[in-house]
Amino acid sequence: MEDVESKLKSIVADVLDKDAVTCDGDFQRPLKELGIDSLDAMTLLLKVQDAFGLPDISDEDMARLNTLGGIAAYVRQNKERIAS
Amino acid sequence: MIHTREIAGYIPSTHESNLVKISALGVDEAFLREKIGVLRTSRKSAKEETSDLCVKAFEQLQAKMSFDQESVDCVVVCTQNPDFAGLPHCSAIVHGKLNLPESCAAFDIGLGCSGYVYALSIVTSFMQANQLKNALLFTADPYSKIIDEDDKNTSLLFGDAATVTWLADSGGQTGWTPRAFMFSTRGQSWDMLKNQDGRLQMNGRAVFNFCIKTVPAQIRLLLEKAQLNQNDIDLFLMHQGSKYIVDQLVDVMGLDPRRVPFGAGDYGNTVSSSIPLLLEPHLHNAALKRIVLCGFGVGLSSAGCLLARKEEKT
Repeated sequence: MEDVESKLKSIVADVLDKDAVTCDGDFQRPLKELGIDSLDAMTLLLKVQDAFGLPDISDEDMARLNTLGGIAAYVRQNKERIAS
Repeated sequence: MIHTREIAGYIPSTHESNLVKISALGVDEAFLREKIGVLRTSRKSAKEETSDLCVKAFEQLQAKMSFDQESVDCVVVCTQNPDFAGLPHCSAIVHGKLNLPESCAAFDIGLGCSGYVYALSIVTSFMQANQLKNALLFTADPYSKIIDEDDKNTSLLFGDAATVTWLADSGGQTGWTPRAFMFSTRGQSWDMLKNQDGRLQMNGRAVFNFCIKTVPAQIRLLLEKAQLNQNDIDLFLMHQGSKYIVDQLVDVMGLDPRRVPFGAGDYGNTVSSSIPLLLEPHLHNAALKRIVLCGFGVGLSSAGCLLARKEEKT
């Protein structure tokens, strides 16, 4: 399950062109505090969809996904749903 | 062979400063400069109609060169914000204002950001099918008619402008020829960018996702169709949706950013005028041999093509 977090960390680095996630606590911080603005968040979630093979993330879910921890939980939940 | 002989653009001199508007809209300056990339948006006057913008663009064409209006066989206006809601067709009004000959065909093309590329295909095909010599292709889509100035999704982005492209059957002369057209449509998402009761509404995320998925694949196919690769292309002129979308396309496609300009910072996203405005200063640069054009947005729709110099054997 650690894989989700490490993959997310690398996607964030790709989107921002820098390592913005430096500790576990960063997963609970608002995306904005990590330097991820609304446009970066769109790109981030698109890359998350592709990386984890998820269906399109709805606007409602997008509005709720405002921490990396929330995104990691969303990924796990939806991967399980797809697998079952 | 039909060539793109000349382009002229008209950008209204009145502008709205986004730096003044951002605090009321809750947008910070760094985001405006680095992501939206538009510092001012051009605005037509309340008295100016879409056809007037076309006439102004034509006056710019005349300022560049002598142009015999009697020689025009076809006039086309690409717009989704025409005079009188499209009845009569805007091209007929432009035809009248320019005193073009009665033998001249006139029709409108109702497309948005992909409109210029579509129009190049439609007009050149129409000319070839009917042995026409000279066509004037106008783009004019003044979104200020439908923008809600309090909507930060759109009011910081869109500007007014018009362009005219002179397409001619120039016999043996050299010139730019459009070819290798590619088109795509995602009609299930038609309502992501629409005119709702006279007001523009845009789901920026849906439009962005469509563009970032569709455009790189479309350009890849376009290059395959033309038997070229990215390094053969001198310029990629993308629709100027925002600085962010252009930057992201550069990133996803692994392009050299120097070959993918963003030029809308001083007037905004001018819909179907964005590509010809960007193309205009490069049209007579003899060092350039191949340019890829790609428009994307309303529909959701995208269209790409290759502009190649005539003397090139491809």
